[in-house]
Amino acid sequence: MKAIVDSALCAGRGLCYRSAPKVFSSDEDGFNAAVGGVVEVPEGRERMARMGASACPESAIQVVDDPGAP
Amino acid sequence: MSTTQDGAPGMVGGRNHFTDFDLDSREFSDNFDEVVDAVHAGCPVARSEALGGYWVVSGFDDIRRIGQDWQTWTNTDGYEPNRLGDDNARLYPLEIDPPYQTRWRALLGDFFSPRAIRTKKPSVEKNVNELIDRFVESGQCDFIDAFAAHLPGRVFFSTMLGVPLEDLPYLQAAADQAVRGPFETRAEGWNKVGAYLDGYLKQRKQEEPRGDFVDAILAGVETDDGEPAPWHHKIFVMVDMLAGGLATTSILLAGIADFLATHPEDAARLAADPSLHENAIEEIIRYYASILALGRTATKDTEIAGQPIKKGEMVMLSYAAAARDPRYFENPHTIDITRKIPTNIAFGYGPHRCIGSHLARLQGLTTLAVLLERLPDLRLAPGTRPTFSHSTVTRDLENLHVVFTPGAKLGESA
Repeated sequence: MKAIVDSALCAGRGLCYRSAPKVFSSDEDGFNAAVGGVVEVPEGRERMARMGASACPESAIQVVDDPGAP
Repeated sequence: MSTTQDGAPGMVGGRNHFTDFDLDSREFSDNFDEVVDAVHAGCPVARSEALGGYWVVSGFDDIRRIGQDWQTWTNTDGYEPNRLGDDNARLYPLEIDPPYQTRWRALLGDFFSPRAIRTKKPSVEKNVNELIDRFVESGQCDFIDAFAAHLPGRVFFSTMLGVPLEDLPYLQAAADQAVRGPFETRAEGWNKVGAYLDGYLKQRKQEEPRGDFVDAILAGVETDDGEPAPWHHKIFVMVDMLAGGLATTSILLAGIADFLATHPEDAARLAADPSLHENAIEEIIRYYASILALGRTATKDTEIAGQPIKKGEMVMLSYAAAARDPRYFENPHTIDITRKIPTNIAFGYGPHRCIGSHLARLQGLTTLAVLLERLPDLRLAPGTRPTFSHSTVTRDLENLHVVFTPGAKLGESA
């Protein structure tokens, strides 16, 4: 599973890494550290990744199961 | 509860909005609040027979679910009904799906991020003040003609695209025609915009790279076949940024002026406490939600809130209605500048959520602050009130006549 973090949307509100700290982390300005890129979700953390993504008020994180995804 | 004012559930203003919905109808635009209440109370998926037939989804949760599920709900059949077969003027990345869509968003996103947009503040402020200078001495104006229709184009063309200043009036006029001209001339407006952007891209291709948004589009991304994106896709991206960013932001800016003119107590509170501005802008965006609805097409037989939807049918996701969902917003038709908004669904949800949301917010915040300072007693012209109209995907405000105590130009000091 991957989580794509949209750099145009992430506003640094911090709900992703506070609700899913084992999946997402923050950069020095409080934005998702993977902004503009992809987070490889560790095995067994899929549920947490989904929770973190759905917590985002800007809907900046898209979780993708498909192994062929970007 | 007004859903039965004419007898049957869904009847408002002489139309049954459950079985005969029409996003473009006057019965809807003239009775927006009532119709939205009715569908939230009794018809989460309404049927329209207009434009070849479509469904209208209004619930906040339904729209969030559909917005994220691009495998079931494709954008490749267009953002509104009747787009099939028209491949000459597409909007990208709106009308493509992941993963191709994701690559474009990743490329463009850096230019629309809050960090990138923050650097545009002085330029936006300068444009706001220059526009206000043009009418501030007169004490009255149509705020849309004088301001709201112009700022988003100026900001986009000058600060994002970097087109020469002398081309701005032509481009602004063409974009204006495309977005809000007489309906039958809008295609001509888009053709002018597309032709200009095609020429501008070709010219920039010959020049030294500036490392800006235009150079990123010129570099492009790979299609799903691993080929470099063709030239016409790059034009579709340029046009999409304009189609998505001009009229929508104009409506927001008009909404800000309408709100200030009709809520003097809130205006005084905002003037006294700038820390309230950000939250107020979110609420104004929610209330004046400029995207009425955007479409998705079912890739398989499915259902929404119990309503079966067949493969190939189009659903219009009504962001403007979802932004008034009473399950999420108490007194949804009231503007409460201190309201906490969980997610501003006016910008959509999922991979296609508005790429320019932070640029729109910046223009809104700047306009709010400058209006409070320079036109502090803004009011609607006596005996007038703006009217709303609908054009399938957008909710428009028309004729916002305002009056205020004349002020002085800032001129070069702006």
